[in-house]
Amino acid sequence: MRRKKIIFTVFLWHVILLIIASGAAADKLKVVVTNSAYASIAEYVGGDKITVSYIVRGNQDPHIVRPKPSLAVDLAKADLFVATGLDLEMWAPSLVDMSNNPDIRSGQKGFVSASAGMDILEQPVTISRAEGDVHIYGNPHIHTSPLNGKTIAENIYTGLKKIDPANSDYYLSNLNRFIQEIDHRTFGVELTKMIGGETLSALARRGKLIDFLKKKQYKNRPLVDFLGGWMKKALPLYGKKVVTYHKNWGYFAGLFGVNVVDYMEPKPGIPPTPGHIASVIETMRNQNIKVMLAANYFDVGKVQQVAKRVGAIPVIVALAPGGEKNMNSFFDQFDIWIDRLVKAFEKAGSDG
Amino acid sequence: MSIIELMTVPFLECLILVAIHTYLGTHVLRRRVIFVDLALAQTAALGTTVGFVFGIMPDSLASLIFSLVFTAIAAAIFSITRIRGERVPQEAVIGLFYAIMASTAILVVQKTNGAEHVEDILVGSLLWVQWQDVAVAASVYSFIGLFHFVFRERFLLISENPEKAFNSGIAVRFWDFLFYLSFGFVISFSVRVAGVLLVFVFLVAPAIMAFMISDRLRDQLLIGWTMGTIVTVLGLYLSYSMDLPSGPTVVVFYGIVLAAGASMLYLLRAKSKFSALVRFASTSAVIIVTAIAVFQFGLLLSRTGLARSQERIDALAAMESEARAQEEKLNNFKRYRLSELREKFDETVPISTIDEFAGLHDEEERFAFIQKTSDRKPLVGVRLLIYYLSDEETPLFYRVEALDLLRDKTGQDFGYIPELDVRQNQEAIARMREHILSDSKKRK
Repeated sequence: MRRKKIIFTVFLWHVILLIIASGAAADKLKVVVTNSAYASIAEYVGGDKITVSYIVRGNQDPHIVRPKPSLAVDLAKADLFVATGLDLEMWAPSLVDMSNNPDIRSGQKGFVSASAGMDILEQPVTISRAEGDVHIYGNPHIHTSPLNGKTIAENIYTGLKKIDPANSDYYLSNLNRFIQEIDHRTFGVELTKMIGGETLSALARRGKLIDFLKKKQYKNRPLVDFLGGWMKKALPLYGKKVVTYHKNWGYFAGLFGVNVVDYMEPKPGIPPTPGHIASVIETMRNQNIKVMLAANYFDVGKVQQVAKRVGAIPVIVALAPGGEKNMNSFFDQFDIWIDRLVKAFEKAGSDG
Repeated sequence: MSIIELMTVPFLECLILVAIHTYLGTHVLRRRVIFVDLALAQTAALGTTVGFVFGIMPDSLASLIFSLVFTAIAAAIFSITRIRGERVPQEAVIGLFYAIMASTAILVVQKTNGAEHVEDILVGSLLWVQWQDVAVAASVYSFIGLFHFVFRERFLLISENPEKAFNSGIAVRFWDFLFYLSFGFVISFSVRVAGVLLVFVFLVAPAIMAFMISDRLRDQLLIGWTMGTIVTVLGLYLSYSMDLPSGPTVVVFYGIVLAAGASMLYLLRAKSKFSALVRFASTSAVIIVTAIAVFQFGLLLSRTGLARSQERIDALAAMESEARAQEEKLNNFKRYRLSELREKFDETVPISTIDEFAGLHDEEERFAFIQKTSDRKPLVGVRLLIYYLSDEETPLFYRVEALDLLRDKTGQDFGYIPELDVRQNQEAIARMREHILSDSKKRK
């Protein structure tokens, strides 16, 4: 009798767990993204209609992912796959092949290219991989600018609309909320209301925003007085010189006016060589460069050593969400990057 | 930034490495356990990697201690697996051990973010050595050097003639353990700096050269040290002047020097100099011809369609076309729809102007367009301005600008207040529209 009861209880528990498990996941779309920054954006746009998982953690090298069976299994069940779309993730096509999921192949409706419709920096004139790991379509680290985040969100929205048209209004309202939040966080609420996020972004993309804001006036005050958000926080960085390890920060630097003078890698993807490091050190001494910036997936010790030699401050940060403490979303990235850089320049200024 | 400033520390480190490794190399060659170094090095590296998983930073003292523990275990295994009258060569056990350690390191690294760390285990980071590293290495190596010097006869006997050592009652296994342990100590330090490959070369290359020339330990050491120092200096210089990674450059340069040295010795020692010279020349010719042939073959193959990984190119091309397709769809996010905008204006405003206006991307462009238009055609410009002021999506700053321009063109502001929203400005907008009507009547 007691035994029967136990068996029944166990059975009941199984049923309950099964219901919970299936109820939680069954009616949600499964979205798999490459970069953890895209995951943060997809969660915003997809809301409670989707579950999101990502492949590259914020403290991993996005260029290199060793294919693991679990990744293919994850992709096999995916409804939507979001990849950068340039040649950053050379491993992605073979992973999709492994997953045996025809719907998420590039060109199919379950595939989203996050970089679609974006102005890509550093597009080479001649296409060749002979010079190492040069990205032949230009700089693929698109998630380092909040403005690119808006385009990524639009691309993800387009993808979600295609596979789930019934909820497209829901996705669209999330998208618009996201775009507004980016504008508010980038330029401040007041200035966004005054000029419009679209216009501010367009000016910023052309690198003319700060000049524009200093020149134009509203009620006899320069518009720059109304600036808020990340752009205001990053004003001390405007025109400042840094050396970075890899070309990770092109879009970030472009938006906030940071001048990346040199890279520790002689060519993207090629580890530092003696002659190149010597020339980097010389450049840093000649131009009095006091701050270095590197993603924490590189060998931190190398950056610190060069910094020590020239008396610069190394700023080591995660490249994407999940890569360090307190960097949990797309928005957190910019808080942390700007914060650390501003502090480093303050320190460098007070030392000098 | 001079070569001296950058390369002094790596150079000193190399000298210390050459000193201790050449000595150990003569033992390794005698014992015929060439891969023991690779296996110990890899074990030390595995210790560092596993420690990293526990949260021990790779350049800390704790990490070093942890990797020494791993090395000690490996040393114990190697001394136990030396079996008298062996059926399986010990080299096989050691090789297998190396493969297992290397693979385990890769598996462990999966748990961390250390892809580059794995590469560093192989290639090392000679360029990044610091003074402290050199000081520590120098003191540890001298201690071990002293230990070996004190017991030199015993170590030499076991390496050279283990059977005799066994028979004379020496605890061979114990001394083997001490040998591998001290060896492992050295390796644990040197691998962090120089990497598995370079350490292996430091160990065997000078020793091979020395063995080719002499049988006596003292001569071997002198030859090995001289050769090691010279080759290392030149290798580092090459690495600097040609801007190549230091570790691999020195390794390859060692290979070239060994080949050249062996040829020289062959020529010097040959009984018939003439036939030796002929053989040397013909061998060199074959090598050169083969090299050229391989080069040409590669060039030829690269030009054929076989060289491209078609799948990958297809995938990338598909991604690109997808990107373009999505770009077109993005136009849906633009502010104005052409058909709606055309209905807002009367026939005074040409359709081409409306279309151009609708195609603009942001307020700067729009306002500049309105300004330009009102300079050339004031009637059209004023109509655009009024539309712009009555559109609730026009941001505050541009309403101010537009109102200034309107005042400029018409001499009045119709009571429009930019800070209020469009509904509150309804009356002002109505007055603007009236003004246009009366204005055009007047003109007629």
